[in-house]
Amino acid sequence: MNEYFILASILFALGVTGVLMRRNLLVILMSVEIMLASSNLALIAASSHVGNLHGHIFVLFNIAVAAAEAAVGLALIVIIYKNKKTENVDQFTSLHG
Amino acid sequence: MEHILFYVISGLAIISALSVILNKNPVYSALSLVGFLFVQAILFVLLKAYFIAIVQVLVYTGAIMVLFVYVVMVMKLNEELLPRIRLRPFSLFLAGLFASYLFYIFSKTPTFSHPVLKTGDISEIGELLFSKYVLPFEVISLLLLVAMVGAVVLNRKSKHE
Amino acid sequence: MSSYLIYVALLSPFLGFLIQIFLGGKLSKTISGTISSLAVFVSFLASLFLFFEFHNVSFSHTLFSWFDIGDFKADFSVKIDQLSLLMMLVVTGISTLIHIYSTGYMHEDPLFSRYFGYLNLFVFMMLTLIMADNLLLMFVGWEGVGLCSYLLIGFWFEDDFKAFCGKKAFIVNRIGDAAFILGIFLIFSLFGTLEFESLYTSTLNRSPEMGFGLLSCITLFLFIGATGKSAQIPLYVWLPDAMAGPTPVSALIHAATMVTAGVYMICRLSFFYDLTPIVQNIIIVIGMATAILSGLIALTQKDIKKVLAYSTVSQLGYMFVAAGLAAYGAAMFHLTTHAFFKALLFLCSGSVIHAMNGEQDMFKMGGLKNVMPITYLSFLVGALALSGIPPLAGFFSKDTILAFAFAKSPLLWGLTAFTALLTSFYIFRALSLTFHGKLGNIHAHESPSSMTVPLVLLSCGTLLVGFLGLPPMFSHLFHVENLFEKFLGWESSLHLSGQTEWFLMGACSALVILTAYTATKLFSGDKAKVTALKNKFSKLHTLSENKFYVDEFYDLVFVKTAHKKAQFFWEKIDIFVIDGIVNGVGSLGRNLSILLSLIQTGRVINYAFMMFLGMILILLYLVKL
Repeated sequence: MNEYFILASILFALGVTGVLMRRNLLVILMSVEIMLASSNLALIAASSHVGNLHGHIFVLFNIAVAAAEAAVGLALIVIIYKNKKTENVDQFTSLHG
Repeated sequence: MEHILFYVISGLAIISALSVILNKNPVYSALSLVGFLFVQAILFVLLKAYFIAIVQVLVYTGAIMVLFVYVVMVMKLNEELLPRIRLRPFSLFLAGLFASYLFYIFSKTPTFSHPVLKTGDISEIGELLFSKYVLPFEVISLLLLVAMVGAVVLNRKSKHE
Repeated sequence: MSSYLIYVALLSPFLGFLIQIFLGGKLSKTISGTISSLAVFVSFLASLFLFFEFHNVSFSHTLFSWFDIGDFKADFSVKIDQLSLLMMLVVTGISTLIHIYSTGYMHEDPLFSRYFGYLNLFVFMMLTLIMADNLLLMFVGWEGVGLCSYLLIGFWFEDDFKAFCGKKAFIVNRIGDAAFILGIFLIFSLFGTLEFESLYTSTLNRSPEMGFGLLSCITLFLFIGATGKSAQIPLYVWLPDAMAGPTPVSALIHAATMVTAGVYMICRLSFFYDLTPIVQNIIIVIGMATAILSGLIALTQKDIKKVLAYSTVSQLGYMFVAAGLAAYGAAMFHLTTHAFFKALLFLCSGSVIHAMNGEQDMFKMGGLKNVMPITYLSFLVGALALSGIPPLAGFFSKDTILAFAFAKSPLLWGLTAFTALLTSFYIFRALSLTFHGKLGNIHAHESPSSMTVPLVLLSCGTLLVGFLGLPPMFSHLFHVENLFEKFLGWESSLHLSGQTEWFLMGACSALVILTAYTATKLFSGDKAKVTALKNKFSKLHTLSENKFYVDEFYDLVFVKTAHKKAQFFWEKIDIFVIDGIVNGVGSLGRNLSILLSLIQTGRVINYAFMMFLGMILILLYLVKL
């Protein structure tokens, strides 16, 4: 059953690549969702391995967190877009030291 | 039969994930994400996590993705002005690092000869959720409430605007 | 009612100080001077009432609790007994007169109200010193009067020399104060208390210390403190320079009151000194040496105030001799009479200086006798009293000390008598040079009444105060008690036969009168004789005129070396080591943060990159395989 873990790892790495590579805020958020979902996959697989349902509960919570994160994250993106008229993260450099 | 199905589905999952991160237009990315999450629901079914699969479809592909698509529409992106996607070496490097390290961890995990779990029974999940995990459950509901209020507050029109 | 009076006596000068400092600029000079004098006069009246009410009791009154740490407790509490009442009367009484005098003397000064503010603060601090019930509060007063002295010496601080003199007084006093506070520490570690009453009871059943023990250390340290404040060898050098201040200040602080604080302190702690005979002998030697040395220096000084300053040092030496002889009554008596006649002499010299438009060189004066009759007569009274010519104040007090000295050893009597001759010589030299001889072509005039009235009052005091403390044979003669010693409760323990004492007194008085006559003759008439005499003893004269080069010696040995060390520490240690460390730490922090700020690119991707890197590191740490 290790294939599920390997698949989850690959998907997670793809999510990381998306976060680091893309400059569009929306796509970055989508990549974060991919990472979350891949961890869900690993959790379900582990749950089947061990033979109890605790992993399932965790996944339920994870989905709820993802929903909250998407709601707040999208709200923030909308505000940023309103203020900066762009969603290209390379143009957000006000933290420059 | 099950193995073949798994490989096909995982191939679809990887392709849809790649499509999310490589598509220049966020609308296509969002649609690819819908596909990705749907494919993942099938993987859950293969793992006999039926209830989770249903929740995945309902919450993720149903609710969250609608939200995404809605935001993408609100922003009225001009396709000509979208920036080109550049492959940044360090992002690939870091992703590779993550993947290889996770592989390493999972390779060290003891493997089970056979799956113990027969079914992801919904009544068992409900029992666990409302007995052992009742406090986290309540906290999560509070988190969702806070997120909802936060999103509303953030985008409310202030009086002097 | 009575505690009321204590508050009034203590706080009315302080109130005056506050008014002068905060409102002084808005008040006219007349009002400002009146308020200030009135504040001290009220204090004097309160002291007088206290005196009549409590002259035969002794008690403490706590104004408020100052601090209370563990088993250490110090209150702001005052002690009312004969000694403090006497000092209160002397201080407030003379202060009142000097305040009135100052309204005339300082009339032209632009910083009029500041001057009176300092003067009032001084009176408050002096009263704190006197009335203190414990050593710590006494130390507060001790430092407070030092501060006022510094402020008033350097009152005309635009003049660099005068500012320097103030600084010198302050620093020299610091040396004594350091010793004084060491003495206080020792007392606390030994007895666990600083209150006079409990200290007294804890020394009751101690026997006198044979060798040089801890108690001797305490008394010696306290005495060193006293040498600083009361200008004794080796710390006397500041007092002559303190004459840079306004003359009324010299009269009040540097002659009548503050400089006697050391004598007062020794009398207050007499129970300690009675237990340490070695330190008593040290006090006698120091006092005697100071008296003679400063008497010799005073012989040749040209500045009228310098003569009086060295005279003060010399008379303080007398008081210390008396204190060392355990004749505390005599010491306090001489303190009181000295306060009167030395204040009088200073005020007269101030009057002269005022008339001469600031000229202080006696050789440029002369013949003022007819121009300034009141000043002349007052100065004469003061000079007679200082020389100890009967029946003025100085005679009785000096004679008492001389008698005690004879009881100790004839040699000591010889030395004190010799000093008396010196005293008589220099003061009549000053008198003759200033008032006799020919009047130069200067427009001098008698001072205003605000200045002459205090002179007359002080003259009366000088004439009368001596009769308070008649020596034994007079009291037998006239059937009058020695009021002074009876009041203080230190009954004289002197047992000399009547004839011896009559003889000593007669011999001394005769010699003194002879010296006074010679000096007057010599300096009133032909200056040629003076020059001849000067040439005859030219070496001695130069030595005396240059104050035995003590200042130069101190400068070479202490000031220069300290200066060199300070220079070294400043240029080498401070600039390189300390500044180097401080600046090094600063620039290290700055350079590090410049380096770190390179990471802060402001690009979100970089932050995300760092975050993922951190996640990997956390995973490496958490997952133990």
